Amino acid sequence: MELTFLWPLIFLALVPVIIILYLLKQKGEEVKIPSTLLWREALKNMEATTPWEKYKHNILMYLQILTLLLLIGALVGPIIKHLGSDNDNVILVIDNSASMNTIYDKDVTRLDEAKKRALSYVDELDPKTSVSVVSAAKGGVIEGSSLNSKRAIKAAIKSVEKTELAADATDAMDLVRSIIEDQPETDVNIFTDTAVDLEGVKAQVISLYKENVNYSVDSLSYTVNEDSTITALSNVTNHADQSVSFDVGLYVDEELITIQNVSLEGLETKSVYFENVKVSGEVLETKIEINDSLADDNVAGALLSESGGKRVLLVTSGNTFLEKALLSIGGLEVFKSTDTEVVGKQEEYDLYIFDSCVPKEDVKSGNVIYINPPQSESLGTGRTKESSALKVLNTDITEYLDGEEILVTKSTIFNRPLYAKSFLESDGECVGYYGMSDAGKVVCLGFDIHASDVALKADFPILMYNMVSYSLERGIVDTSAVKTGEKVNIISMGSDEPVVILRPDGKKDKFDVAVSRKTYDKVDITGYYKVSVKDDNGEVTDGFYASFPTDTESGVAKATSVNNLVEGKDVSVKGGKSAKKYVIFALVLMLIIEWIVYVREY
Amino acid sequence: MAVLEFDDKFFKQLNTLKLSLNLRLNQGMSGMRKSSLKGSSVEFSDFREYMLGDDLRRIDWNAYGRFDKLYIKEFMEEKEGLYRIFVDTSESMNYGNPPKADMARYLAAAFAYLVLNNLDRVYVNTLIEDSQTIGKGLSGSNSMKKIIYALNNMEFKGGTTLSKSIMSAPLRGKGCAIIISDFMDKEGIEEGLKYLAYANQQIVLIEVLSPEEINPTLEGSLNLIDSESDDVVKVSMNRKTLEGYQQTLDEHRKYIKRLAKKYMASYVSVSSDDDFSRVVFELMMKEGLLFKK
Repeated sequence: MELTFLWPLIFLALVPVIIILYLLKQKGEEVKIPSTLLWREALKNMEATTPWEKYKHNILMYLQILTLLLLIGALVGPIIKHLGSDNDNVILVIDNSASMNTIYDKDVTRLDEAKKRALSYVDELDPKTSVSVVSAAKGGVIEGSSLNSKRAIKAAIKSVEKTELAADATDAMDLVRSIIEDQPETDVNIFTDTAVDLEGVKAQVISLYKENVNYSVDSLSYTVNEDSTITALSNVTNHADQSVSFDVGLYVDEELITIQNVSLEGLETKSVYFENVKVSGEVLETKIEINDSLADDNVAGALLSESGGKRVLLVTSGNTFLEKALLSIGGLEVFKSTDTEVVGKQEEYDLYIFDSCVPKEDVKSGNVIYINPPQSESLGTGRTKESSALKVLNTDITEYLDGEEILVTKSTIFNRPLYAKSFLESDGECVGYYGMSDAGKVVCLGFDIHASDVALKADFPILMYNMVSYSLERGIVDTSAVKTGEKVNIISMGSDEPVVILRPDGKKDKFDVAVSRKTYDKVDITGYYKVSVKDDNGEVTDGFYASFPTDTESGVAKATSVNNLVEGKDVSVKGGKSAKKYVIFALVLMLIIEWIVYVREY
Repeated sequence: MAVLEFDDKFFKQLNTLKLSLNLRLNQGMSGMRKSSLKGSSVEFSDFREYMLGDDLRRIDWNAYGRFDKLYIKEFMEEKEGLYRIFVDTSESMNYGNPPKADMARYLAAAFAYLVLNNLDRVYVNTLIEDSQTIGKGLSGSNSMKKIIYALNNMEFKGGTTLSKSIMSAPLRGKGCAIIISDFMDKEGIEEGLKYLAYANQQIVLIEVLSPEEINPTLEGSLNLIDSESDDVVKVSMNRKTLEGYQQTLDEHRKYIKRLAKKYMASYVSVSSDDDFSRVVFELMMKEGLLFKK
């Protein structure tokens, strides 16, 4: 209940005036009677049956005080705050990010509780209210738009599914803002466990945060030792205030390999090492063996690569910069040659790098990096250009490069093949490209490293790493480890068959990768995603492991920064309705009652 | 106090009536009432054999002639009945139109007249505060004047605690106690009745209420003041409070009736504006206190 005006409260001073007037009037007529015995007894009996009887002789005074209070009540313009909404339009934003899977109470998660509260809120709504339901993960998804039927609204609320994505309700605010742009008189109710940046949106935040105990496995990485064993490193965090001790298990393909105990102080993160572990399989995982409020973050994983490093053949007449850069990239077995006829003569390599030369015979199967290639039709080399500044385009290959330009004394302009994509340009002309040819991946760099400023910059090893990584990608996906919610690039294998992704929940996603690569954005649950595609040589398989976004979702802090925060068991209390008409109605009713009482002389 | 008029009509209608109280007496002065004792009246009772010490004058010589044995002839002893009329002379009896005191005095006079007519002895006592004023024991129809005089000089004022007043004087011998009052006593009258029953009194309770008490016609918000204690009760008169009063009055009467049953007393309730003939011929006869000669 809120009051519009407070000045009418001054009339409350009239209440004692009425009482005093009645007290003065109270001098009832005195009548002498033989005995008051029976009267006293009669009044006592009447008070026993009707306790208010003793107040009855002042009933008119009470009614007049009540009438005065109602009059004041009408003047203050009361607004009844009630469940539900007065506005015709309501938006319900339900945060279904990973942290909402935390247990709220017994077997109920925060998301379940949010849905329950949203459903009971809908019950209180006027049937005419139009409701839009938005789930916050995935940047805000409209589950139901401008729904009027309560059944449809409830169905939309129930359809909000749990995800394991790093998100919060703030992600949905852009969407909410665009909805309320057309309908400014809209009530926005946000059910979340995290602080929300409302950015000017007038909304009610219903907090589902509750103190609880959570531990998480934040990451898992490993290195392959010389004896083919691995050393795995896993970070575990205690998000609770109390110290704890639990076991961390190392699993390969769901099979427990070894176990270690770890003790953590409150809010501490520790690294757990598993040294010299013999493993063979696809998926390496660490799990913590303890019950906590959020189970999804109790596991982290990594994919085990094939044993041994990648075989790389470097054909060069001598390039120290290149050799050093290759050595800094782990997991490579670099073979050096000056013989351009080496292709096809020896065993196959995973990657060929030709520096300032091209093979006598084209590489029929394999990935190739050409650096400053001489004239070659198949590579599309064209004219040369003297000193120029090469513009670095924003591509996968140039990711993480600081510089925007590379200065070269001489560069080769390419007629970019159809399969390729430019990553370096000089005045709009292609100086470097990458792509998937029929034989394999091709990266072509049209300048001599010695004749550029890039060799002396930190960008060079990064560029080399990116080119090698791109070329050595096992084919279908560009990464083996992601966090849920991140995107994965699926690279075309030149096959007409669709790429099939077997998700951790057993579902299959199929899609065509017509161009060089396509983004897969449905990494919404943790676990191993197995990617496969059929080509002429059979089936090529690859995969990636999606980990829980522990950095943002495991240790969610209490949302306190929002002013209009509703905490505890309360369902959202919403904007009010003017109660003035009801008060005036009661006032009129009171006057009628007063008149009846006066006339009938009760 | 208004002087009561006792005209011929009053006495004439009483002459046709007789008290039906059946007292079996064994104490008191000789009178016209049969007693459980054997005595010297003319009414024959029984024969018995002569025993040493018997009055020789009572020997039935005719029987001795026939049976050659001495027999004594026994006769009924006749005693006079003792009637005590207790009149409540508290202030509350002064109220009503006509006042309750008038009806109380008429009734006292009527009972006294009937008692004297029966050659019994009557005491007209007044109950006041915690005590009583014991009237002179009177018998013989000539005493009626004294009684009327006493009644006309009665003063109704102050309060009364009926039980305490009744118990304030010792009672000797069997008799009949007639209590005339409004019985508006918050301490109740049971103790008094218990005392009278213990003292072998046949009890008659005559309740006199004013028409204003039986059917009050009060209105508005009133401060009711008790005539005896000046106690004030604030009452807002309405249908419900009047109904409540009626209900309480009924309860009060039932309470006295219950007490009357318990102590084998007779109970008659009269209104001060009742016609006296109706009271005597209808209410008293109905209760079996009086009957026609």
